[in-house]
Amino acid sequence: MKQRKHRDRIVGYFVLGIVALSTLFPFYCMLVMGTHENADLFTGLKLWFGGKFGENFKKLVDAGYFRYFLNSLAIAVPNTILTVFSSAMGGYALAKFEFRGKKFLKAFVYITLMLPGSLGTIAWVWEMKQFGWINTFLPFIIPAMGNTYAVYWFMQVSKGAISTEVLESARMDGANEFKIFTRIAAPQLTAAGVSLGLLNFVGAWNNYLGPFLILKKPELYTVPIGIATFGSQFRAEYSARILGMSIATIPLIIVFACTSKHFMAGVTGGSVKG
Amino acid sequence: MKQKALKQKKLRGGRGYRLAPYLFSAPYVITYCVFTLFPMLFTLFLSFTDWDGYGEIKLVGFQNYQRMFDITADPRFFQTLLNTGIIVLLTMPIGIFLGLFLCYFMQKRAIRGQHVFRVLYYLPALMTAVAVGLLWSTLFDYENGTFNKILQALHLTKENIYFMGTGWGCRLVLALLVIWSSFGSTMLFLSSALRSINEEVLDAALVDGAGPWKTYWKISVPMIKQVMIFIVITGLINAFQMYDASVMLFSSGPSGGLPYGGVDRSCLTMVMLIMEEAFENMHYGYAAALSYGMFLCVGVFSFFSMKMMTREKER
Repeated sequence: MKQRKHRDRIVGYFVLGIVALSTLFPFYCMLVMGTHENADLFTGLKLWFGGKFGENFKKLVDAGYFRYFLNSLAIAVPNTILTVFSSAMGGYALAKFEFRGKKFLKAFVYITLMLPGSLGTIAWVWEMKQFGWINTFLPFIIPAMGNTYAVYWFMQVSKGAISTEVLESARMDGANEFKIFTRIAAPQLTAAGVSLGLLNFVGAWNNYLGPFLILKKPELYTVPIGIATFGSQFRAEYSARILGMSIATIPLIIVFACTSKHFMAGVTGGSVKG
Repeated sequence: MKQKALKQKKLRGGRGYRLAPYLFSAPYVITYCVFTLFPMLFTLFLSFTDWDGYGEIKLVGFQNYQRMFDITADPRFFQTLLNTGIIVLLTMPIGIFLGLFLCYFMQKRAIRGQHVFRVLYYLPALMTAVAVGLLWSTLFDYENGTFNKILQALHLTKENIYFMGTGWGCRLVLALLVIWSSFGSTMLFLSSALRSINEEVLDAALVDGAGPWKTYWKISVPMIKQVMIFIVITGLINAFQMYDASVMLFSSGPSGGLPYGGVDRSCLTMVMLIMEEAFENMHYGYAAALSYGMFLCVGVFSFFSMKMMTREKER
């Protein structure tokens, strides 16, 4: 019996390890390719790091690649902050108040939850033109406040996490509603807010189609547009481009590694259970 | 009882209490209506027009829809449906089976470092889809691809294989990409569902003499059927809207680009078609109709996924 258990364990590690290695292999290729010269990349198989990291890095610097990082941050950070705050307030209101039109608002959330995100893209671009927001970051920051999924999320969390009795006793003490939200409700929503915020940050950072349609000046490009366009004219820049990809991926991996528990709880947070 | 009701009234009668929910939900409702709902409705209006984005908007009735659903006039709408269906069939069964298979080993307490494995499997999902497409186009490239070089180094092939030289080749490479980048989150869903199963049920089965392998597949797995359906539906919705990764996969290989949507447009998705019609060909009206065509197809599935998502939480 004991021996069998031992064998099971080895089989388990073996299977999990093989899959982990094949998952990591493309990442590894990416890291390696970024450290070689183009010519070498195209002639032979390279499975170990080369010495051209500095040169490729310099090409990226010269091309203004790091500007894209600042741009992406300038979008993803405010986007995430606005999403979390606006949705936390909305979800809390839906979960913890009785008010006229609550049924309607709930139905609104459930129905809009079903609308695919890309349904209005064509008219959205036109609308942004009318607003004069082409070539600005506003189209990726302001609309973040209207995130149905996030409102739904906070509504579910608020139901369980915030006790109605505590809210009522605060009201008895004469606290105003805004204070009750910031001092009593919000702290209870922090863990869920972090999970959602992380997911949202990665989504905003990786968004390609929206910025691609709105941002037409190279100095405004975000990281994904940078990757898509960098050196695409010349085959010569291939390895620098791949290095750029590695560099773009590393911040996300670091964020994820530090917060993986929160993060992974966020992925399955809105889902069904068995 | 009466006193309690009175207290309630006092508590909830204040002006602050009455106003607060409206103020709290206003930012969400207003921005959603302005930036999401309005464009959706305006797209619906555009779908009944002929418009190049600049000139006059001409009303044309149902003409766009007629053309879209007429397979002889424009087969592309149905082609994207077929492509999406094929990609889903190529990816979902493998993704879920792989996830279940790995979860079997993750269940055991004897296996340490489960969290580390989960993190590793999830890494591809973090990577920018554009970068994933570009990376895979270099791995599977015809002249300079890493896999071709590995096959030759192992003396398995002599000539370069043109992986993405045919429509089905494109589909297979794209399917691999999708499996790679999505099975980490599939696993998270499966394992969180498996953990929620009542252990007594499983213990009872084990006492009855069923082995762990059999217990897992015969008892645990059927119990999380709901979650598997949920994964399939969300996978389907994503497949309809796939854009970033496949555009990059076919346009950026070192040996030169393939047609938009792959050879024979075998991987053209709904959103790819919409973007091409709107922003390449300047057929805004037709693209808007295609958007609503997509909505018809996705809507059914989103309805079910929403139902499943909300039913559980209400309980």
